[in-house]
Amino acid sequence: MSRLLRAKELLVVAAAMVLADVAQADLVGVQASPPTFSREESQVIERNAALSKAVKGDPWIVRRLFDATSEQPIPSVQSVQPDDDKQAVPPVEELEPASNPDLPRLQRVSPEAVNDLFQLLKLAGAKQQEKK
Amino acid sequence: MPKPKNAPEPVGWENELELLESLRWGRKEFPDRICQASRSQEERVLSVLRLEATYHLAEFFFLLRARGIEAAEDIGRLAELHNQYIVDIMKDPAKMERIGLNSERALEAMFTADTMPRLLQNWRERSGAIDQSNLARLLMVVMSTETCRKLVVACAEAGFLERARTPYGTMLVVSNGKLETLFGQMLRDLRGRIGGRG
Repeated sequence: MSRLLRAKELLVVAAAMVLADVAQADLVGVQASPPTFSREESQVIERNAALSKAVKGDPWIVRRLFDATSEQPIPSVQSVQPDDDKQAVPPVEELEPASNPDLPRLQRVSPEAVNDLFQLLKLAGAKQQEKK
Repeated sequence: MPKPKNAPEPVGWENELELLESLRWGRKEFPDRICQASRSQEERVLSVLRLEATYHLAEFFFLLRARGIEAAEDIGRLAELHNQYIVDIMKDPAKMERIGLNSERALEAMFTADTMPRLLQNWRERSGAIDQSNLARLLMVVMSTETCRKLVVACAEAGFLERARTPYGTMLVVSNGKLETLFGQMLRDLRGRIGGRG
């Protein structure tokens, strides 16, 4: 499960980096030879278009992401949409589930969060009933 | 048929297994039904309708209806409860970690002096009408802003939601009730399956 969670965070961060064109961000040192990936890591890369694109642009970024998530969780990076849906920033690339099969499956929400939302709506409805 | 009060409990797990089977059926049945009811049968739309997040979106709209959250004051109350919830969880780093939330995202999800009036005004003009970005705020704990946008687009193509750009550049979303009906009917059928056993 922890590997899946790491892959999830990796996918989210890698996808965000591709989308935000952060692939050109500064690296800590320049690596001459390409990085290596385990069989499992390669399979994750192959299955997900966002990672495949990132590894072609800058494989060391993907390597660093795998290494970083193996040490500690990376906070999820959400795409930033302007408040009014105005396109002041370039449109966010769609992450199609078909070409990123692990992404939707791994983006599971916390049951605690689902219950919290349910309880908020219950409370909002209850107060409305009290007033009637 | 209700069980007699003094009926002995079964030794095995038969009742629980039947309950589990019904629950599993419900989670499978809902995506099947909305895909069948979808105006678009394109796979790119159906694949989004099958996402777990779509279930959460449908549940949200269903709960708005079932809880009677109709008037502007109702949605205003929900938004205030939502804001208080964010304030409370930001004091609890362990909870933030558990639900996968960071401070930046939590703060962005609060209704402010700018966004709250728009929430109320839209709802006042047409009950249920909400900015896509405000919808994403209310659903913040269960999905990202981008996922919410993707679901809304797919549900609009499926014929469950209406999307319209306002003169202010915002994207207004209104449900036509089909999603809520499908979700509610699934729950009713689930209750029937569970109630008819044991």
